[in-house]
Amino acid sequence: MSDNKSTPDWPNDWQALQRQYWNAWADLTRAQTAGATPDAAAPWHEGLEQWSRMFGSAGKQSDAAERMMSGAKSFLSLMQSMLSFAAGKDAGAINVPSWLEAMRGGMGMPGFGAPMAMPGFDASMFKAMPGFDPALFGSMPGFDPKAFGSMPGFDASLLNNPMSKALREIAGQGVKGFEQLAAGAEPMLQQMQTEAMSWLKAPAFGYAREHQEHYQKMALAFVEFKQASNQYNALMMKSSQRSFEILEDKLAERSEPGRQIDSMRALYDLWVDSAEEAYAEITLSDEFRKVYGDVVNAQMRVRSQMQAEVERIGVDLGMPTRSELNSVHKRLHELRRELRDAPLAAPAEDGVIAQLRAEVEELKRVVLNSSPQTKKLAPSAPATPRKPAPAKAAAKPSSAPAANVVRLPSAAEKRGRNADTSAQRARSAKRRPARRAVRAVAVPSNPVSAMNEATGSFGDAIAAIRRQMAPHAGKKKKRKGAAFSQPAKQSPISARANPGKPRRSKP
Amino acid sequence: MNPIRIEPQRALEEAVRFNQKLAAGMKVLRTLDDVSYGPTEREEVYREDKLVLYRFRGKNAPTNKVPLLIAYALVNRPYMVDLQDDRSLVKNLLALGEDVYLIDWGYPDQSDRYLTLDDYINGYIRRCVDFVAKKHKVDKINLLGICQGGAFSLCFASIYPEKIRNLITMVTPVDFHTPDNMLSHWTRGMDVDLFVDTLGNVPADLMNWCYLTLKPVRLFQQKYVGMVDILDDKAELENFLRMEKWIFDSPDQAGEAFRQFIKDFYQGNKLVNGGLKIGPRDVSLKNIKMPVLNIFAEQDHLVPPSASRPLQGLIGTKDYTQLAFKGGHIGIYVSGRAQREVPSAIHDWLAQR
Repeated sequence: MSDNKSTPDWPNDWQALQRQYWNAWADLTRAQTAGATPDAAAPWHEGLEQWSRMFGSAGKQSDAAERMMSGAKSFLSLMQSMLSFAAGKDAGAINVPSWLEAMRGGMGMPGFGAPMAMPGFDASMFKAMPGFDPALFGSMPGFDPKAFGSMPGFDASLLNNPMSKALREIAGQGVKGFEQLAAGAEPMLQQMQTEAMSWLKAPAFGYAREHQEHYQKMALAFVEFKQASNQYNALMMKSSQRSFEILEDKLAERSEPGRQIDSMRALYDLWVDSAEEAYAEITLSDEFRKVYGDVVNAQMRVRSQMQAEVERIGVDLGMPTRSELNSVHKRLHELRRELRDAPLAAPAEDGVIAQLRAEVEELKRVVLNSSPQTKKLAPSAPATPRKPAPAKAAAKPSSAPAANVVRLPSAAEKRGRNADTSAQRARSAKRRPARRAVRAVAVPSNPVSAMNEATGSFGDAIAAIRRQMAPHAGKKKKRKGAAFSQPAKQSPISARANPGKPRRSKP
Repeated sequence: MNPIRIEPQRALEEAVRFNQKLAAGMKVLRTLDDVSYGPTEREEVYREDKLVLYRFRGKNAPTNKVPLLIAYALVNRPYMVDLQDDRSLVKNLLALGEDVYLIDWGYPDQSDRYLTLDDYINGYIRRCVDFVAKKHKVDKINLLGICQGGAFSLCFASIYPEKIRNLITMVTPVDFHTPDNMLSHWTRGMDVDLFVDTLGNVPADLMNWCYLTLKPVRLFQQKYVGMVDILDDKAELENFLRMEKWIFDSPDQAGEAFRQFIKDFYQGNKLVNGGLKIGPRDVSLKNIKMPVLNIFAEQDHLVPPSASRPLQGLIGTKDYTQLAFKGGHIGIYVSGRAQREVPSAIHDWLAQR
């Protein structure tokens, strides 16, 4: 290209470049498609639309292909816009300030909410932007601002506000499509705003007061969300503006010979660096922290209100609700935890057992020290219960009773009972209360052995030992013994199973 | 002098070349099957709920008698440590003689919504550690925590110091309130109770978007412009796609665990400020008296180095080693430099203890 091209020639040169581009593109695509070559003045990224259609079914990699095409479109649009400024002028003599000015309006920062009919988008803000002149874009051959609206994080039509979009599209519990619900509520919201916010805070009354109050809350939440989104978008706009200031600074550093930017890719990369710097600057500010929190919280309030409404409808229709399911999940989870914690609780349980063992040892010591009682319970002078032992117990006579263990009477002994002397009867009568309580339980002077031999519970054995220690004990003594045999500390397992109830021995 | 000196004809050629690469590359892209990952042989040794504990098998028997358990973050899938044959932390550790186990947390669903940090740390991790220790007949094992898993590992080592012989943390946030921590900055204005009460589990897509918006232009766009450059290189393209898969293959976050993590770590910064409780148990980093190796990435935008460095002053051990890796949060596992430097640094450090 000539270095001294007169200015009036540049449109022709630009058209020539456009033609070259599309011819080259057509050569590439001829083998792939029968599609017609686009008009020479068409935005370059439109060629990519055909690529996208062509490779729309890029097998398993369709998602990646889509994301790549989105980035490629942005890059090509930038190239085309740059060339529209350069064409016909001295080689590379782009008027940087005016180019930047033009780009300012077209290249939004991620989060920049341009022409998107989303709750929270305020188009008037866009027009009021200093330095933005939409007419400029219309006069730039080949430049299509819409191109910048087609990629995530870059411009409008796909994602103006990535966070907001992400929040809107997520499938939260009870509310699947926030987008649709939000869109449905938009007319109502518009009306509410027109009629004034005060209506939303007016007290509800009458038959439908609950419903009215709920709808008021939902509408208020929507309004707050919209306001918060506006604030968020305003900060993204600020970030976008700041990115061009940084880009200008970076370009100024490259004015020296040898440091000039001589490729579109280098310029693009420099813009990306600038945009990221500006974004970090803004998003690390205290103001952003508050606005970010506000927009997230506001949307959660809207969602929450919607969920409540969905629940109400579900209940009216007799459908199971999310709350009910959550309740089941929670209970199941608590049960699961209890089961898993059981091994953990073992040491505590061991502690209880150790305590009981110590108690038993103490009892043993006491029993052994009370020799007269022990002697009376010796096998040489077995107690002979007045009533016969139950058949079950009698069927399992102890073949080799240990020392100091009172065994059940054998059949011979039972027969011999009839030959008891009256003196024996009198002695037996004195022991009657204790024996009645013990029933068929063999009560030893050795309590551990008694536990092993007895068919009753551990508590019974302890009680029996106590009675043996004090054979004439009345009701008062008995109660004391029962209290003593109760574990001082509840085991974690029983505590969970019976919260608030003390652990008890079997009756 | 004008800083931009782009000749239109040259720019046009650049645009055409770009298209050519796209055309050629798209053909390659269309032929590629779904990418595979996790090439190292492994066996499932323990399972509980959705958690699976794997033991990896190297070509040779391990020489280190003390097994190494890797606890990964909940927010991404753990196959990042064994992404592909020539980019595998696990494979390199095995080759050096380590006996490597890995916790795969699985994908929580709504029934896991009530899982708490107590469940994860005093429950899952403890049982995995006990299992591995019992299997190897040792009292203590080596624990390697990555990112959020590193924060969990710090808690675990503080609560159960008797179970951990050596602790390694990789790209682990400790001080969540450093001024360059963008994620922390954003979460501090959030009403996390309202957030979790409303969403239940936190959707993976939302988490991904949040991470991508930390560097939106680079991650939403520039990366894909760069992808065009490698479209004609099948091997490179597969590497790129494998990474793409990993980035977007994320589990939902169990609501209650998320709530507590944001409140106590991001908002309360309790690892530094104290007062952290995991279930009924107190966490104090001063209890960590075993040797500690702390590895972080100098260009980490998710966990800035400033968030990891303070560990040294907070733990109770004098045997502390710090390794600053030249790379980013992901590069520390998958870059060529990482393959050369990170596994050997871990192995050598362990071998000395």
